[in-house]
Amino acid sequence: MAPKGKSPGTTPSKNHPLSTPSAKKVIEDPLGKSIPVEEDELPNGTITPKVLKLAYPLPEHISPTTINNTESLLRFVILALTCGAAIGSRLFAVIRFESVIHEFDPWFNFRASKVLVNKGFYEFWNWFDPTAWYPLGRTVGTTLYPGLMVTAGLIWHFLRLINMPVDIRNVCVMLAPGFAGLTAWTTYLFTKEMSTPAAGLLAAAFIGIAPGYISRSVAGSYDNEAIAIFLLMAAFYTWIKAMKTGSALWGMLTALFYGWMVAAWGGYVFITNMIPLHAFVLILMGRFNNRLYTAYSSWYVIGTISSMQVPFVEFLPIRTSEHMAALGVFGLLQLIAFVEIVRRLVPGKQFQLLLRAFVVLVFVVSFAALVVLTFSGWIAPFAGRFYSLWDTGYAKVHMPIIASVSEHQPTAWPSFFFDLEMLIFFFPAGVFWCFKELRDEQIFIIIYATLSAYFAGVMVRLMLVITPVVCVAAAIAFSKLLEAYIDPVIPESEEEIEEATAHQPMSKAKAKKIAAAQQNKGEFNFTGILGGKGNKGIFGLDTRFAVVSVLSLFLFLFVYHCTWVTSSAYSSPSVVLASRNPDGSQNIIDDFREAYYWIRQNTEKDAVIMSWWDYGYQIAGMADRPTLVDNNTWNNTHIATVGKAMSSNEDVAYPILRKHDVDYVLVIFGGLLGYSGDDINKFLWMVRIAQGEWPDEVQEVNYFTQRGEYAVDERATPTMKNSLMYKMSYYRFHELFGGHPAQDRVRGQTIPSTGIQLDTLDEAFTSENWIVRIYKVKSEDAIGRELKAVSSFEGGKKLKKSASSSAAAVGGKKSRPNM
Amino acid sequence: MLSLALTALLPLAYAINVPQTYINTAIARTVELGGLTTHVNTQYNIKATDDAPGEYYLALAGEESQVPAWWEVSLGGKKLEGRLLDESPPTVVVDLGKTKKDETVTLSLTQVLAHSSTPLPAEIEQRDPQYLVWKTNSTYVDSWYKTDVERVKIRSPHPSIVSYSSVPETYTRDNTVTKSGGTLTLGPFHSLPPTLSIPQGQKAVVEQKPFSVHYETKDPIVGIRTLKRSAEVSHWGSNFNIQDEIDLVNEGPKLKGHFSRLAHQQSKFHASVPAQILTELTLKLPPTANSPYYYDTIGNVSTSHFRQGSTPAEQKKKKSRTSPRVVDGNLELRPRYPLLGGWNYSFTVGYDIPLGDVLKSETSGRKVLAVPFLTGLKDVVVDQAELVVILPEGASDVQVYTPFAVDSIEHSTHKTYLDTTGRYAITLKKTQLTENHAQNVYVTYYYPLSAHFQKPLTIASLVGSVFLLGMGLRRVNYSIEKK
Repeated sequence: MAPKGKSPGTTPSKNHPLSTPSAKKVIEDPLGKSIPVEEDELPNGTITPKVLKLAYPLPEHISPTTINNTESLLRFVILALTCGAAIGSRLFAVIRFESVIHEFDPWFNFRASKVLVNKGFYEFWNWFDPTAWYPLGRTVGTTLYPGLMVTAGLIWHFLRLINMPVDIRNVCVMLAPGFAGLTAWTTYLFTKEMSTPAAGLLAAAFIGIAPGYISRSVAGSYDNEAIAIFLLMAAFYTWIKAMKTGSALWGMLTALFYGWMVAAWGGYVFITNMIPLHAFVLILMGRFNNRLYTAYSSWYVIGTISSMQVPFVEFLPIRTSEHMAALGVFGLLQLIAFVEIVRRLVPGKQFQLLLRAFVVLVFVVSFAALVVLTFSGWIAPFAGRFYSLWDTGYAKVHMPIIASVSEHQPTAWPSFFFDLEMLIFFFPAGVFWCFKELRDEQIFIIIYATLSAYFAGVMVRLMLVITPVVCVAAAIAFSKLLEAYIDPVIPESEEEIEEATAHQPMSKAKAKKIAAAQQNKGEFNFTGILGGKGNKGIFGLDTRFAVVSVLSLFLFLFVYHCTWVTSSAYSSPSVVLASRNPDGSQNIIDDFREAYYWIRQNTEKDAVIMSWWDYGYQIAGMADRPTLVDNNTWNNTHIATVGKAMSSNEDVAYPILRKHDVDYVLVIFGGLLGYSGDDINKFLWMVRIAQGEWPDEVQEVNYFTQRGEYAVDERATPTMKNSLMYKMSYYRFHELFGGHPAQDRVRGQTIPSTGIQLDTLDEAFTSENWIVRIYKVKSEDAIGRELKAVSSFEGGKKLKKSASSSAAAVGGKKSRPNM
Repeated sequence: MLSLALTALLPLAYAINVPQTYINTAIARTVELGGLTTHVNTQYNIKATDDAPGEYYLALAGEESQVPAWWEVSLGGKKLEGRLLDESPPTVVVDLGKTKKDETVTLSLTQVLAHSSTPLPAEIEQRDPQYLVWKTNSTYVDSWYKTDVERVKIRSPHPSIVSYSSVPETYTRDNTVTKSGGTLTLGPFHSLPPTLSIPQGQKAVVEQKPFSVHYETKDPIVGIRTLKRSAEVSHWGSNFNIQDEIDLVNEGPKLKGHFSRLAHQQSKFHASVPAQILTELTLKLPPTANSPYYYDTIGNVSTSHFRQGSTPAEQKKKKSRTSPRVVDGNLELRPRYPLLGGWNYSFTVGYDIPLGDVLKSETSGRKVLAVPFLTGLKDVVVDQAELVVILPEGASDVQVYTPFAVDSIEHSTHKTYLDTTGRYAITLKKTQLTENHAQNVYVTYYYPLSAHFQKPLTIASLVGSVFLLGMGLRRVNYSIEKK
């Protein structure tokens, strides 16, 4: 039997010859080239070893044990190196900047982890945070996915136990790269189940450095996704294992990983629906068996119970529509299993039909019950975010907060290439290979690929979900190609076959049989290597060389692209910015931390800071002060209140500020430096969200010029110019230019040099590059005048004096109104 | 109320019995005003009036005053060990050696007073100059003995002295206070009786008068509320790590109103940053200090520069053009934000020193470790200092020698990376330190050879046992199926 001697299994149950390691040994090197080694005693078919022609010589007389051992050693080394590369490529930010928590959400997770390790688990579980969402507070323990913090906490405690007093911050920073290494390993295992170990190694290497995954898991990006992808792959791998072996142990492991995933990330719903869907498709294809039954039942029961232990989830698995598929398939499996038993005991075709009808009836009735329960309110309908997956315009109309987050926007096409490079082209090929073999586990890949391809198109954030399956499928396709082209066996040309048949009349019958089989099939047949026929293959060394070198080039380019993307796009902590000096040296712009640390050190411990919600977690984490709104965005009204205060004039905003005990208002202003992620650019979202609550008081139209432009220069509308946000951003900005036109570098517009008068706020602090500006809210005038009157009075006085101080009107110490 | 209470305490204070066996022929005192510290140098020309005059009682301060943060007595340039009495007023008893009648010796006293100047006005705006007022209860130099002639010079760091109090003309012949530039000269005073009363009290005691100077200073007034230094010795890494956790505060007049970045940037542009604003702090590190780091609660502070020092020995090795002398390392720290009056800034700074530079081995096997108590900063007072010296695991027979009296010394165990039995840790605490306290604490200990191998053996045995466990577990069949 030559490795290519047989056509790939047309029946799914039959193993593909390529996947049986006994036929061929494949040795991998880190670049993914495989070198097939022919075993001496192998040939037992029509072709004898003497007839086997090789394109290049292979070493002989190597015992199978040696090959086996070398193989497993190489596999281990390659996998270890892959994990190393996966970790290493995520360290750009640490090396370039420092070991710092990135962006916004990670700051909350970090803060929660600190509570966990400093105050203990129960304190964390029951944590009520009075400083968030002032004055409402937030019951943090029951409104977060604790998996991430608990994982980090356990690692921290373990390290403490072995006398490694590592700072919790370093544990948090390094968690994502560490788990990325583990993800590479689980992806290897997963792909190995789908195809060959060679494909597994390729898949591990791909997922290790694919930017689509790195974007969420660089060092410092301490977010739920950091461990979620590992858990996703682990759950899928154990599920495939359970389904293949029918072992309750693997099913339980699936459930445990699932439980961990539920505790860690809201995206667990993906698993909750993937596994039932897979099981359901298998049932529809008539592939129900006891292994599937055992695997699914053990996963569903244990998994659901473990998921209900998470306070944030609790009874959701039995009360929301997202979870109903799993329950339905569970019921369906019971019914089918019951029917199977009955069928075994009771023969008779009519009875079978009856039973089938019964199954369908029960299914229909339970589905109807589900619908009724949903409409009667017992089962919650799909959540809003879920709808936005089906209708991309939904969020913009109904939930401006969700739409305002850039990662919830639909994916742009280039970003597929940006995040996955060549994998996106190999991906369909890999899915195609799965179709060709269509074993139970490969159906999983097909479903996963279809679903995630859709989701990734709908939301940028879900690129993360498609990345593993793209890596797996692309690795399968890639390894198939490499296998075909590295295979040293030269197929016989047609003359040779004819010659052979002429010389050996014995094999004539066999040749006929093959021909007959081909005719009998009469279906669509592939030609060339895809058809996998014995006399088709690669003939010359030059073809091999050409294809393999092109593929290697692809791999090199992929590594190069991934490194470049990671280094340039995904490794910025966004807390620290970097620019280049004219001489090429790095200039660190550290305004955020400058301002946050100033707040932390020089304001009252209970001073309430108002800012747009993006900065809520950072203020809580770095400045350690109460905030009005943060990235949790659970209370739309509260956010809209802040939006209203920011977008209204001082007369409207001041009572809002006072009512919420605001001491300081913080705005991000990038106009001096050209930092485009500033509040003026986000301003329209504030207006929109405020408009959602107070359509009469805040209108988006008023912030545009008559020609529909969003302007901050002279053309800006009076509403815009009088808004608190505009005033705070450009307060005294033109003075910095000393008479020259004040240029806003983000919007490229000239700011009018008429001074901005702030009556109700005092500038308290501005960071070095003016990125963060903090204003103190004045307290009411001691003798009951309006603050506007006070400042005009003071201003009149100031005219006589030299205009020395900007902080002329300093009231008495602020006394906080009793609540 | 307070004075009443003090009056009640007075009899107790005069438990010191000072025999009048000396007179001061001349006292010259120079007071260097600064921000938080005031350096006082006093020269005493002492004449014995008796053949066996005994010890000399040197008053460090007046009746209601504290012991100065730092003091040193020297006789003809040689440091003298004085015995500080417990009673008030703070008095040091010094042995002047064998002195005969009418023999004269010159004693000099150096004192550093902490927090003797306070800002006035207490609140200023960002661009205003800052003024301090220095107050003392003793216009005259406090002494238990009679003084023939005495002169006090007060030097302000800047010529602009706003005001100063007057001095009674009781003991002066011509003028009482002379101002020239930034220097005030009090006296000379003639024939002063002792300022501190004597129990026998034959003569009238001089009535001390408070004296104050209101002056301008051009340097930011920086104080350190707490300093936690940990010094860790590693014999394996041949490294000595020093890490300081510092709570810095601008003790100058508080900022009135708010900080204006615009004004700050403009003043920077015109190179006229107001005196009260602290933008940079330079730490002098030992010449071989390396790998410094500087961070605070929320991460690394990227605004620092380090110029490594060098020693002649290194210079030979390196060939690069460096100074042939010992050059200290300079660590220029810039806080995240400029520190205005009343603003706080806490941070951590640390560096490494090769162990050979601070550790000497004696032939007996005893190791002597020199640990600097703090890095001296000019004109800075550390209110609370804590020094933790962490010796390597296995160090035994530990002795501590401090250059000055500390408030407490504690011994404990500290566990960190790869430790099994823990490391020996010594915690020293002291309040009110000045740059003069930047001296070495000596710690001696024995470090046997066996202790060197404690860590490698621990790790080796741990890793070995993991492998053994793995080997054992692999040989167990967990399957519940019978095959």
